[in-house]
Amino acid sequence: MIEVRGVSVAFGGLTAVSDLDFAVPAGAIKAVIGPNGAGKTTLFNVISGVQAPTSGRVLLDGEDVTATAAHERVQRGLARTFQNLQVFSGMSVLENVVVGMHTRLKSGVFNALLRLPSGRREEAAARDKARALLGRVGLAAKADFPVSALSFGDLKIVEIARALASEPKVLLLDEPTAGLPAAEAGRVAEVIRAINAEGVTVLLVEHNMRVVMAISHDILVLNFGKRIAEGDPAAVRAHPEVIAAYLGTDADDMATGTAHV
Amino acid sequence: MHAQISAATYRGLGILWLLLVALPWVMPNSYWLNLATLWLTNLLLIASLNLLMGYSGQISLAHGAFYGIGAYVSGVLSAKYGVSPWVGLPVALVATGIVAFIVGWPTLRLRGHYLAMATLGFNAIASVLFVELRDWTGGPNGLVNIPPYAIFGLKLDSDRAFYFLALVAVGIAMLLLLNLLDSRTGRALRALSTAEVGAECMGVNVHKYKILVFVVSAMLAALAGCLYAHHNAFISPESFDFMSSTMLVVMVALGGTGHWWGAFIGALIYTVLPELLRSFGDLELLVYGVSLVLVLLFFPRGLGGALDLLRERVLRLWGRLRAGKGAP
Repeated sequence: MIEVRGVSVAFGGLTAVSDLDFAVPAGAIKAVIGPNGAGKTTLFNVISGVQAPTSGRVLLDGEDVTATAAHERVQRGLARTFQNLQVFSGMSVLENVVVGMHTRLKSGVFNALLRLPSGRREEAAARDKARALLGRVGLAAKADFPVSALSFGDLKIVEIARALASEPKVLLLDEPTAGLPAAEAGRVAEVIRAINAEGVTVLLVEHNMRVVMAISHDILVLNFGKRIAEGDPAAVRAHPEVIAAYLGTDADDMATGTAHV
Repeated sequence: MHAQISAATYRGLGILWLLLVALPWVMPNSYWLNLATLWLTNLLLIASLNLLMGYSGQISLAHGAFYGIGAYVSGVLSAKYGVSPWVGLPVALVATGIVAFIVGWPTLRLRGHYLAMATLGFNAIASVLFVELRDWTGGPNGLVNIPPYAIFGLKLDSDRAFYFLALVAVGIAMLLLLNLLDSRTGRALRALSTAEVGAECMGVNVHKYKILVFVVSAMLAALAGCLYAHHNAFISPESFDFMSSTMLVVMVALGGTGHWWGAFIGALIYTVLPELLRSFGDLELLVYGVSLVLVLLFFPRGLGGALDLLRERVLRLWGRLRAGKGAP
């Protein structure tokens, strides 16, 4: 579904991602883990089209999208959330989610100016759908709140609902459970699993090892922009280089999934 | 940050326009009526800049230039070539739209101060052209003998007739503006103004929408320019210079960036304050400057935002009083 081929990203002298190859097969949940500064967010930016790679290619559904603008990748079925949030601050929670439907709605500027009935119908349907999506992630009660009234953790969930609103085939989640209490994190993990069960391919960056180990089919471990391990959770957990990279976290913590990196 | 557009906003606009229809009978004095007409064109200018600046987050210091291009295109066509102002109007709108497109394409890739500087540069070029294209524009002395609008040979040159024309034209423009804000397009604009990367990653073609809003905003300014030219019968370059562009930005901020009713307040100040300060001469600018600093210091959301706060307080006080009465 997603293929990254020989991708490198250099900021001046600093190489954030170095000649990286990996693939996320359709229908999988793949996690990218690694210490801070390992290049995980840069990698997400390259896949979503926010950052052009210095070299290498990105394929979506077998097609080269390296030169495709970020907004067009959304049209093709790619959606993402952000580590440090990119919510639209002047809007309600519901409106934020409706923005996610931008590529799936049709009414253009003339329809808007003349306030045509077709546009109003589409608008009403979009709001209903957004409300349903918020219900699904457990935020129905806060749909009409301004986003400024929500906690960081809730806003991370709003971003998931907003990304889902674009009807993605691939969902990139950048630390979806950061800032959430353990019970909430578990609920988000369930939501991710349910989304995946409906056929959405998921690639996530996550520091909560319990979540990573519980839901991932496959894990990619990065350090200094390079792959140090890749495979199923059990294999990655036992990998000596992974244990070494997570210095300060002993192997037992990794094994039981309580490590916080 | 952005006041929510709702059914109440539409109702408010409708009620205001009904009241404005009655104005000529309440204030038959032509001085006041002309001031009201000026307020209407200023409202269009400031509301269209607010669409760009407040709702879409793009600063432009070239709004005066687009206002001027609209005024000059329609004015020159009618005064020099005998073209009907009704034909001149769409020509001026389209011409201004094309210029805005050409200017916006490269400059809207810039952000913040760089965009402000690029548009400022464009306004300077436009100002020079208004003066130097002497054969058309009349140069620094201005363009004279611009004919008024006419319906079936009946000239709309009385103060009252022109007031109603402006009321209809600006009313339609304000309604279109409101429709635009309350739509998929308006939502995309508000989204890109607060989180550009987020909007792009939700499928909003950010550059396209920036150009779109730049062009729409410029065309609305051109409409104001046409109304101004054919009402005043005379236009000169200094009405459309850098100073007027700056003042418009100031008025958007004073009223409240991204506040629907803020533009109405900004236009009121822009129209009335010069009249009040006329006796002070050059002090006018000083008063403008000081009042801007004071308002933005104490009410960062402008006077529109300040009124919202006041209304909230009054409602809360009212609620407390009623609760107090109910208690034994």
